[in-house]
Amino acid sequence: MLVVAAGGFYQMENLEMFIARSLLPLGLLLLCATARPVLAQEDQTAGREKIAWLGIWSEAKDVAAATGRPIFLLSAAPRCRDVPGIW
Amino acid sequence: MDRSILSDQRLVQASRDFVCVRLATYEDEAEAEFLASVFRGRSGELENTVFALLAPDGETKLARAGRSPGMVYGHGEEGTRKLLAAMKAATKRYSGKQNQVALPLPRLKDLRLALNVAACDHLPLALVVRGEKPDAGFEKTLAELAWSESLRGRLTWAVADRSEAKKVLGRDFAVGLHIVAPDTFGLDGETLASVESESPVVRIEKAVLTAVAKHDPELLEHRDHLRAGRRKGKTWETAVPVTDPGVPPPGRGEDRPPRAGDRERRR
Repeated sequence: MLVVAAGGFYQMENLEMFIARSLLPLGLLLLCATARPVLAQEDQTAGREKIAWLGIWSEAKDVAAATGRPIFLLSAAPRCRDVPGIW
Repeated sequence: MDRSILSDQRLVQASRDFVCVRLATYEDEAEAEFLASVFRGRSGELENTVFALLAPDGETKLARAGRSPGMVYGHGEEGTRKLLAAMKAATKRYSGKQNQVALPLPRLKDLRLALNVAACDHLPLALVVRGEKPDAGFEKTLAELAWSESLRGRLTWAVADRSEAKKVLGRDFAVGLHIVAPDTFGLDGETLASVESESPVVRIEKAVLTAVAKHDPELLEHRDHLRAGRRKGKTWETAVPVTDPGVPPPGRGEDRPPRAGDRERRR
């Protein structure tokens, strides 16, 4: 019996060749299609830098005095309605 | 917290010319007193959030202070542009000294708080466990790593001795550096990597970068986080009393049905 698949005609006896030459590339294609959005998301966040904060006022004040740089001050409560883990 | 504006890459770049400090409100008496001197809301008390641009003396305000950048400069693109302009003016006025300054480890005041803040930021915690005496060379190396281009802003740092580490995380830690993934509520954590203080810098950096890449925190919507926290009995006790008027006195208001605007008022 002949099977028509991408890349030509295959005899069913030669199933391994059928899988290798037909289903495998199809699988790889599907894998790439599903992986691309994830990779794209990683790319978007990987390049994004974040503000580097000091966390103690006395140390920040010392660094500002030593470097002569102005201070970007922010304060926030690391809890909401007494539940921690959220600003 | 005004997250969208703080993650704006123009602001992040502009922040490099500043000493950026983010304090935890109500978690230190002296800092709470200082913050109240910078800004008090309509209540006349220290509120949950404070924002200000200050001169290098740490006292002179370069503009009006407020609860957030949005409150002072407005929201959206226009607010961001105004804030960036104010930052540019500040750096023009205070261009900084030319001398090289060794920056300290950007740690929080204690491990308990740092674990919580790491969870708030969805960042891994870098825990430096000290022996009987601090290892100055090791901590200097870590400070340089913390401020390196590849790692700055990507970890929350804490320094603790072994007993504090055991008290907060419930297990023994060897002297050295441990990268910990905080749980959703910042009350516990799982160790992702550990390196000894004698390790070569390259090995430390590689271990940290690998752990940072591996960190995959659970992200919940604000409401879901609160709901889950309450259901599981996850609570936080502040170091100093909360004076934000949005917080009802104990036992009041907690059981009534929610009203429109509750979330904004009580956060």
